[in-house]
Amino acid sequence: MAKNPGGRDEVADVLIIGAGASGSVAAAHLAKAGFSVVCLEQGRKIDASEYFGDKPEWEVTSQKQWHPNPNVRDLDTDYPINTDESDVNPLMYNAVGGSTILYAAHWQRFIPSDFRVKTMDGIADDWPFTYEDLAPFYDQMEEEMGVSGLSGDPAYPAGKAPPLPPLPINKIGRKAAEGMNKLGWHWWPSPNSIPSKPYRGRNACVRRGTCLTGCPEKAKASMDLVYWPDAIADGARLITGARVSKIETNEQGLATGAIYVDRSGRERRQRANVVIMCANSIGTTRLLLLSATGKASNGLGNSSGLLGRNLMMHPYAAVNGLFDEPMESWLGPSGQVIHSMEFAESDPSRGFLRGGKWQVMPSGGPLGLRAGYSGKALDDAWGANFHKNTLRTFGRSFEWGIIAEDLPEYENRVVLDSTLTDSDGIPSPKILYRNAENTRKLLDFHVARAREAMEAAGAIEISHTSLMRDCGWHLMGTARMGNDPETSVVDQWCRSHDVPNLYIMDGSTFVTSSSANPTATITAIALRATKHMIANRRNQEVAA
Amino acid sequence: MSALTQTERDILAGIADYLIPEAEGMPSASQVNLASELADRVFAVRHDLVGPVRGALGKVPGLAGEVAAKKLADIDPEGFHAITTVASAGYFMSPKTREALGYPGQESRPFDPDKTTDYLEDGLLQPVIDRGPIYKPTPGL
Ligand SMILES: Cc1cc2nc3c(=O)[nH]c(=O)nc-3n(C[C@H](O)[C@H](O)[C@H](O)COP(=O)(O)OP(=O)(O)OC[C@H]3O[C@@H](n4cnc5c(N)ncnc54)[C@H](O)[C@@H]3O)c2cc1C
Ligand code: SF4
Repeated sequence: MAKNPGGRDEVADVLIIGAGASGSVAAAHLAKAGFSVVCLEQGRKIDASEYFGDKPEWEVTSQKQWHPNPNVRDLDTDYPINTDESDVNPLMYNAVGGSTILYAAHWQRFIPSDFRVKTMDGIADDWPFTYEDLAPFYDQMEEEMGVSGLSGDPAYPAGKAPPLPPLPINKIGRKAAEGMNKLGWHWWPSPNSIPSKPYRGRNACVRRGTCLTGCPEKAKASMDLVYWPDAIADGARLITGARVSKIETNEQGLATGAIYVDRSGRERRQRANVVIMCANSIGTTRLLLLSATGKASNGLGNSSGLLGRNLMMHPYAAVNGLFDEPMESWLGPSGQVIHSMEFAESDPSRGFLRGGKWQVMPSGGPLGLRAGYSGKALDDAWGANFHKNTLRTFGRSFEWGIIAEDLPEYENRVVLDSTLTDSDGIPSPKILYRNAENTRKLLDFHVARAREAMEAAGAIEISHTSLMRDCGWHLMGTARMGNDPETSVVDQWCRSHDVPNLYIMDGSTFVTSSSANPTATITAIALRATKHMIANRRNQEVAA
Repeated sequence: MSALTQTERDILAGIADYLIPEAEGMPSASQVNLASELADRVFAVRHDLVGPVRGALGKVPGLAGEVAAKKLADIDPEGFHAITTVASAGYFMSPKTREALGYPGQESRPFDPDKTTDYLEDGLLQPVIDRGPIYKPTPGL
């Protein structure tokens, strides 16, 4: 039988599922405002000393236990995901801090038109608010995260400067910028949630370039560092190793809490007046589908039938340029050094709608370069050629990464798998996801332009990957927001249209995907919704 | 406890020296103690590689490096891939290799945060600033 933790019959004011980017923001702000907050997180707390970025074993561990694909890591804290019918593998990390443990900390806002896609391009839908509505929350998030960047990027409306000076753009950033200048194309020193100076208890970045496998310097703004110490000091209770299997509801259809399995295998119950889902687009959909009841037979909060639909994962292409000069291209931050929004806006004459965001990042160490050789003939890949290839390319190349705006497609979705389960026996999700025609055309165009940019920068050899399979860093859609309960799952305050005390504050609520990295927007929306919840606490309907 | 027997280690050493010989000013696998030392460091953090590597090595007893490598690439691609991962990962962990390559590793390289905007001083960013806004405004829409 399910028990409350420690036998207490505690009813929390708010129960948050998932201690990742959105859950951490909500938890910290609600606890500060005096709410009793419980957060259930299936993963554990990770200590910075566990990261390998400052050890020689860094690269070989990044291919297994620190890989962003949970199916490759295969840790007990992960849940397997069936990707047999997906063009892209979803990536994430399950721990206190969620995927920000591994994220690259590109702290990029969406552009204004991203919120008005239907009005401007006649496709998809508009968001229920505008860039201007969100701007103050972007500002506050930049402050809280300690973003380093240069104000004045002409790809955005004028606004508040980031709190910290920009990180260095290094030789690779300068080289890429020279190419862009020749073509007259936009570039800008990038904003990153990586402090260039010591900031609120975090250290300054020392450019190890290992952000994607966890920052050993306690510099990068991962949510375990940014929010949890304060949230806990303000009374929030973070229960780790707590794998939620179901959101419970009462006769009236109101949420009453959640059932979870602890690490001794016991089923427990946490009751609450309000439940906030922050388990990311895949984890949240999975749980709400698992929480189907007699009344809500196709999933909790799913009267629209849209739960799980319109999954967007930002297909990603890369153009690599090799130069005949050493550029120390392993040097961090990693982190983006420069980005370009030259082709982020729509131009229908290109044969597709919406656009892409480009960024330059360091190339990593020598082992990563080897990965590309697995398909080569033995004599080409090994022997003296092994050295020749390494010496010719290592430290002398960089990549323009291209994030494609992914349009919402009804058929791209998360469902429950019929056989696969996690280590607690809870059904796993399955991804059904295909790249749309628009995406393929968009990527072809962008790859061709990025090749021109590499050539202009003086690359002696250029290669590209049209679509990376392991590129589902950005999980969005599946519970879109909107004003109409028939065509959306939550309202603009992230509240379920069906269940008035159930909220979804992760990237699930995105109406469209922009081509910018999503976490600045996920957290700005979570912050906006949390503040609204605090301001309207007296009007909140709760289970009796 | 050692991950490999001496016999397995000898076969691995032979294969590793075929994959990574002394050439182009770079040391060979055995010159950096790959099979005798670095492979164990790889196995210590990548237990998942031990099984496939041992399985593969067991299929080529007594064969010389090149012959063993070519046979394994043919009959046991997964095991061979595990061997090449151990060989290259261990090799690049060696300070000797890194020195020859001019790679300091993912070292700590602090910087002066008040001197990061060289592109403003030398004009690199100026053309972008001069072109002005490129976003499509949406107020009123
Ligand atoms: C390698 C990588 C690089 C990235 N780089 C960038 C970047 O540079 N810029 C950017 O903007 N974004 C980046 N992202 C994306 C970014 O990390 C996510 O957008 C962000 O973390 C999403 O926040 P979230 O709150 O929706 O979910 P997450 O941060 O994924 O957190 C969800 C949490 O919920 C928990 N959870 C799920 N199911 C359950 C359950 N059943 N019971 C209990 N707990 C559960 C999980 O364990 C997890 O901790 C990157 C992601 C990855 C993987
Ligand atoms: S580059 Fe900076 S933020 Fe990234 S891992 Fe290194 S020290 Fe941390």
